[in-house]
Amino acid sequence: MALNIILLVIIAIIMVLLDLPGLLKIEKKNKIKVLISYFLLLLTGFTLGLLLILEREPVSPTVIIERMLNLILGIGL
Amino acid sequence: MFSWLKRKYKFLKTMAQANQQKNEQPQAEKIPQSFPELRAKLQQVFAECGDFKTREILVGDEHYRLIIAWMDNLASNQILHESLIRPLLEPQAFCQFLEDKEEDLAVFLKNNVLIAAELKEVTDFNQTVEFILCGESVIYIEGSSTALAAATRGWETRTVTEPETETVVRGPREGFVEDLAVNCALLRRKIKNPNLKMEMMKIGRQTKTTVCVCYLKGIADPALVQEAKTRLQKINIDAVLESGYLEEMIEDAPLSFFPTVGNSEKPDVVAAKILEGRVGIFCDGTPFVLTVPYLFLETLQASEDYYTRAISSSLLRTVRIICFYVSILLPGLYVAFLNFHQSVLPLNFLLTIAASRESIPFSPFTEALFMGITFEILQEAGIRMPRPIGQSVSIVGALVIGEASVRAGLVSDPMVIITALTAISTFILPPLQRVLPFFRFGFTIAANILGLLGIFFFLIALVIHLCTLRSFGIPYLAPLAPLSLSDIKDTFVRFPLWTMLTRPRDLTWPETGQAAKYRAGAEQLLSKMRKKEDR
Amino acid sequence: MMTNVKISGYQLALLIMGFLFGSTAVLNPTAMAGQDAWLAYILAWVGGFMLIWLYVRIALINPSLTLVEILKVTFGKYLGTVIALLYIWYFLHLAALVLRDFGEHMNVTVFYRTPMTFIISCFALLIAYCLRKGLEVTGRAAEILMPYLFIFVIIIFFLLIPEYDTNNLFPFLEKGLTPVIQVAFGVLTFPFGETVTFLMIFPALYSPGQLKKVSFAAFGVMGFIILGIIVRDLLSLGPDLLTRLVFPPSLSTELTPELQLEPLISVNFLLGGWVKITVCLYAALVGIAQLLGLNDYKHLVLPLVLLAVGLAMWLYEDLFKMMDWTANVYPYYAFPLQFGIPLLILLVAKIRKLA
Repeated sequence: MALNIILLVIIAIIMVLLDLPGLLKIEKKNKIKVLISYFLLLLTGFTLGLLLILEREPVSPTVIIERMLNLILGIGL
Repeated sequence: MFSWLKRKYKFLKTMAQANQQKNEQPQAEKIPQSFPELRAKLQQVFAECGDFKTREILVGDEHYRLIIAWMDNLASNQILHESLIRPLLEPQAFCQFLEDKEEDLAVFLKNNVLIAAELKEVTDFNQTVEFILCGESVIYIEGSSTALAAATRGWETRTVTEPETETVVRGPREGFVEDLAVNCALLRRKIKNPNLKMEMMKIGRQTKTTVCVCYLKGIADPALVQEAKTRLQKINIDAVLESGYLEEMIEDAPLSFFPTVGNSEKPDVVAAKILEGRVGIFCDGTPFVLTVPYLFLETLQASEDYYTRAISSSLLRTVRIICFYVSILLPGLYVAFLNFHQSVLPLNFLLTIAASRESIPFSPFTEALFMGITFEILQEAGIRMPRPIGQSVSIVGALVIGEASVRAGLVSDPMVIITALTAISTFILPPLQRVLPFFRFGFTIAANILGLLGIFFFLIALVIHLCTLRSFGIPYLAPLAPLSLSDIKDTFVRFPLWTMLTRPRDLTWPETGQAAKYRAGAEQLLSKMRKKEDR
Repeated sequence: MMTNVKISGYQLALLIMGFLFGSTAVLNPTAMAGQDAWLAYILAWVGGFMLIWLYVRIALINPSLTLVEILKVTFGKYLGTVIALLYIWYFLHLAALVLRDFGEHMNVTVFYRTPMTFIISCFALLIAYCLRKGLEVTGRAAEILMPYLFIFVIIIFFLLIPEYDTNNLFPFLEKGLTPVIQVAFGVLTFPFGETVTFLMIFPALYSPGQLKKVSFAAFGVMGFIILGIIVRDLLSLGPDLLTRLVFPPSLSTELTPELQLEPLISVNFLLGGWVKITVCLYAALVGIAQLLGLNDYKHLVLPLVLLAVGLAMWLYEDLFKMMDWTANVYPYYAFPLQFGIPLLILLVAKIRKLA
């Protein structure tokens, strides 16, 4: 488990290192928008990976979709 | 780390800028009229140049003094004597001039005395120096600011022989030599057309190498020609000793494994490429002529394809494509099948392999890597060794590595077969010969990790990489991707020559590309009509 | 915006074909219909033509606009953004689904002991590389790689001929028409309806006049090939075995006399899946970039791919949960996105035209 977490961290760091030169070159108008969305996506992915490794993932969206469909359509699933 | 890279980058950039400034042409300088001054100047420029020769001559009843300056052995002594010195020393030569005394001496010499094929009037001293260094003889005239440069070039060149890199069974056997003038003439003899343009330029701050951009006007895309010329003009290095220097400076993807600039040693190959609308780049001092743009499929084409019958050359094309796949995939497939997909192989075959691998202590992957590296060592040794010793390398390779390592139980028999097959396949594609081993190792490693899946991951990545490449603006995999159906005629199979009515659409100027098609069609119709009329 | 990206009609056709092939040919969604699988498939195929007609109409009414922009134009800024987010989620979900399918397939068939995360990550790395290079390169690579897919399918189809048994087609409509229509509805949403993703890609077509021809031709050709695969599985395995298997083609190819061609199925899945995931993630990336008003999506490739890998592992507990969900829940979840909202867009456009 520890190994997996280390791997995940390394992958995330490599990603940032690969993207950073490109991210810093964007023109000023969009820079903040791109940086925020970039790190938001990265953080989501990273947290998800971390939770999956720790086996403490929240309820899967598929289950939520299933429940919602049940509620709306009332199909017996 | 990044700050270090940044600093390095800045340093390189400033260096490049500094070089740009250094590259400025020297100012024009007048030729001194008095001879002591001229002599001093020549002495200063050519100090300690042992091969620089001058000769002073008094002509016209010893009224006029001339200095002839040339480089020993660059200028042919025979031409120098026959066409310059002898006519000058002819007693009657100056009679007319001494009587009239109206003309300028330089003009008189040019028109009436000297019998060299090409004579140029020069007024810039630096230019005369350049001419001398190119092998021409310069005649300075006392009291005149005009000098005459006579074409007396005549140095020792290798005779035109059959090139060793591209041998053919059928087809012309002549190859380019090291001399640019000879090479241009060889090409001109193939394409007797005033539209074949040859633009000369000088590249290299120290070497001042002559480079010739050669294209067929009206067929080559003018934008392509312009692009090639601007890329060459941007080159700013000390020396150009081989066209490889130029290749490295003008190629599109210097970091890719694949070549995006082609080269050939044969006039007929270069002529064919120029006729397709490509641009040839000749470089003085090397028999290798560059052609741009260079597309991936050219690695599969050989000049002989067009000299032999269409069916046989189409079959050979197919063989070459198979060879391409064999040379990069075979060891990887072996590893993948033995490690992951044993069930795919027929049982009997699997048992045979198992029996031969019984006493081998290593995994198929180790075996493949060991044999692959061994072969690369042998190949490199075979090329670098003096030719008489090369024989012994092959004996060592065949006996020691092949026979003994199998007997010693280091490698299995199937692996030896596979290595041999891959090696031979590699030689069929000379332009990619130095590239394919890397991919072979890559596929072997990928196969060891994820079997056939790994191989295909790698293959897709390779195809994506090939698709991103462009050579002088043309997609590297054209005409396969993007697909151009009319150009398929010269890819996996070679259509008969009488079906090749259009020029390659990706290469040629759009006007000629599409229009030529219709024009050819119209011409066919016209000829049919004429035949009917004749009847 | 991203309108400078241009692909040719042939490339678009290949992308649509690869997309349809995707995981369909390996999962065989018609399996539940037993001996009537071919009928269910043909019904869905006809429905698929209606769906692609709908998408093409929308694309032609709004030339050079992607789905996200069309939504904004049709439903206004706020509602449009919400629906666009829904679609981006759907594309991401689809990519994760295919990734998971791929990982499960590999784990079940060949790589029993390789961790699924590793296989999926390798695949994702390839797709990230492809996305970084852009759609044009993807199209050109498809031109090189898709022919292999067709060749492999044809090879397998003909090598299996000795194993075909026409008795497997009977009894015809044993349980009546209702289960067949139910399966057909499932097949309509997977794979045909999923081509709604291409509404993000249609504006990139070099000559928009070809759009209708190209997409219909791609549907026709690939639909025919998938029909061939379904008939092949049915004839060689029989309805009984077909309904019990998760990956029918893997088993049917093992029946080839003297040979075992299972790896070809994996490779086909790889090629089709590569196109499908790349297209889905491309659509999601372009959608995000357009919502944010960015010029270039390429900076967001790596984090989104990481997210897709995470989602692939997170969405389903195991293979059987996934199979169950895709068969029973997925059609109802996807249908509004594939049919409802596009139809609404078309209606709104028509009403606006009248008004």
